[in-house]
Amino acid sequence: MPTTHSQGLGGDEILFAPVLRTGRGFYVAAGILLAVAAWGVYAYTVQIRYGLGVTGLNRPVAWGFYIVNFVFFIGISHAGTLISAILRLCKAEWRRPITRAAETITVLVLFFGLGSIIIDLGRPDRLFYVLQYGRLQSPLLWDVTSITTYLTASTLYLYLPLIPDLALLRDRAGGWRRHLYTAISLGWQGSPEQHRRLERGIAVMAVLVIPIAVSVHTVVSWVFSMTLQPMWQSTIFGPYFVTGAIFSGIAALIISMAAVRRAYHLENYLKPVHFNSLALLLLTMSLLWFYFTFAEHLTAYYGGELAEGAVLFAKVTGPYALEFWGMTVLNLVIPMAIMANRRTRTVAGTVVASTSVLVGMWLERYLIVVPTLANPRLPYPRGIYLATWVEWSITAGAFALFILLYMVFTKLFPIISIWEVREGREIGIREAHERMQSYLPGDQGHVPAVGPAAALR
Amino acid sequence: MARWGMVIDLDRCTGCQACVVACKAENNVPVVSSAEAQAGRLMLWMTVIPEVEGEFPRVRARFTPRPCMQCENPPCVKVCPVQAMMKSSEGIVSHVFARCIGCRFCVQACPYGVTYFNWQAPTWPADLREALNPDFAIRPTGVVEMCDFCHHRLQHAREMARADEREVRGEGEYVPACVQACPARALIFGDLNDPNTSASKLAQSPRAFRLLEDLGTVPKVYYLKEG
Amino acid sequence: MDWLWRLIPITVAGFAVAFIGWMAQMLRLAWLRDDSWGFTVTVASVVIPIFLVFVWLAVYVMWGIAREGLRATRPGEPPPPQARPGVAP
Repeated sequence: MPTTHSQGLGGDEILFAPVLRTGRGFYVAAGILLAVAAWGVYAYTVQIRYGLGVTGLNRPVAWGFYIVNFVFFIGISHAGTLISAILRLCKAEWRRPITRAAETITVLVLFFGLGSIIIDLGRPDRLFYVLQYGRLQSPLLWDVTSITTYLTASTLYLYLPLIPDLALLRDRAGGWRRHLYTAISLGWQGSPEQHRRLERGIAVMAVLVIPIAVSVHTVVSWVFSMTLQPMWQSTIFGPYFVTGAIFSGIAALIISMAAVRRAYHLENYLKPVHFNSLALLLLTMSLLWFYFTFAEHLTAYYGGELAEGAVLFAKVTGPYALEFWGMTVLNLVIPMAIMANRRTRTVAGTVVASTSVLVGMWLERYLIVVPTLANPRLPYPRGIYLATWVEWSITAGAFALFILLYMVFTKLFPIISIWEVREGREIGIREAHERMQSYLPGDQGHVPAVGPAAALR
Repeated sequence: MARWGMVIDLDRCTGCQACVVACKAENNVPVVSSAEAQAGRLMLWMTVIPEVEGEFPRVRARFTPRPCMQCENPPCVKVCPVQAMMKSSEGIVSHVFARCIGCRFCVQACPYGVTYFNWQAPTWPADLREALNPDFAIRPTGVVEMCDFCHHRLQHAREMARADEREVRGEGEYVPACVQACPARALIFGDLNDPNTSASKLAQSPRAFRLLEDLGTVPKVYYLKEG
Repeated sequence: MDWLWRLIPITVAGFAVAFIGWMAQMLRLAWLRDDSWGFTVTVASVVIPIFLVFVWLAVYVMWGIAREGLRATRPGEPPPPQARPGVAP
């Protein structure tokens, strides 16, 4: 049931508005974020000057905040793939206003994951030795390979569906913007041939990007589980980390969606039903995450192996108990309480639950890295890790810079995929209707050539 | 081909730490302040692990010198992304400072904790600076370092032996600094492949064990249990 | 600005080819050093086909779109038919 042209042509002006006009609130927020990011950069220059000794890292805890941030940021990158690729393949219509925001998060956050690892290096000036002299037996090289692949794939997967929107912007914008959009629109005319090629490309990428994304967080987990350290050498790490990544990715997506909805008055496009669907996914991932965590800790507890027991009890009752039980409350109790109940599963409720999940998942990464390192197999030394101002500043700066870049993106490109929303109105409704009719019994008057019905006739 | 190993007799070790000091002197291992040491930044390629149990007068003390285990199946070599950790054909596991990018993966992979990281540019007090060993490099900030059985001494011994057109002898010709310094002669060093060396004979002793043997790292440092 | 319509697909294809070249270098190093050959072959045999798909994407999809755009913006050409009137240009 196609709708009239006027609804398709004139009704989406609000989606162009953030790109064409900028208010004072944006500059204030950007200024604050820029200041925090600059402070983070300053902290890094201190680290470059005096060495990694300015951090709280030591022996045996030689990995700390930076590695936690690395795993956390790469984890959030799974927002894009789940929503965009899987929902596109499942032909879920509710994905349409969400895909662009999700894909943007993925592309931007991967840079911060890579950046965190580079910040952690003792000799960042020798970074390119990894490319020149790399050994693919090392899990770090697996990381380099799969993250590069994922970054390429997700950039292409963000760019391709952006092209028709760039053409729409090209016709509306003026000045330098018009030149920019014309330049990167690849000469989009909307012809059938171009549409055919574009859709083929998007379909192929949607399938390809899913196994790449699964591989990325799996190899990140294998940085830990390929060693012989207690509670790291676990076969469950691959699926555990991928689950945690999708979990934190959905949370990040919900928060960013709520933010742009409020800032740019997109209540008509990002409706409670979208937040409801994402909330149910978040609830599912929360339970799945809890299942893996429980299995992991029960296994360590039951066997009673000494080295693993030391790490386990450091987390459950020892120096890390506050973080451990805090993580459980933030990742399981609060999300379940808010999202299991329809009355609290509102936009505001899902944002609260998602914030809780993000903090909880950062704590989870921290609890994977630090307690194991602080309790090595040999009896001496035990470790203590207290992060210094350098690590806190760089962490804060990374988060601030990420949010800032995301905001800048929404000023350059529409954060809701305009042509996909329109396609949903014009074509999606009809296609979904036909699809649903095909599920129902009754074959619209055709007589089957073979089968019991024919035999009976 | 030689396979260099060490046997440490725990009955003889008095915990005097002469081996620790000799190693620091021989290999130009940086000195840190006591505040840094408290914060976990101490660098001891060779260290002595004390284990004291019980109350006076029923005290049981054991001192375990712990160099790099020089494993046959070294986790540190496996995880290094740039081949800065390598195992030679004679079994010596060593580190290439000029290649290291400071990722500290080897620090995390080693179950014995023998790898140390230069958290800042190394410093020595003035009098120690004059006693630095010219035969061994000084490491910059941001790289990892660890015991390599004084490999530079093996290279020196090999040069001397090559002048005589022979191989390095299985024992006596090449010893690490810790073995040379031990006053109780608790550290025995030699070619484990040569059946005539004391090291290879003692490694077969019923008193012999290795640390964390069940992990499969196959260390080449054997300990002789107190008998 | 339409030279960028050619440059973007070329850059994408170039990057993919460069990555495949890096994999080849990794294979060569692993062979010469006799170090982690199995791992290198496994990773390369998964990753190289993926980057070949990226080359296809650059050539078939992006270059194909650009070529049509270049043809349409040449002066004197009639405008191409609209695929989806009212939805996108």
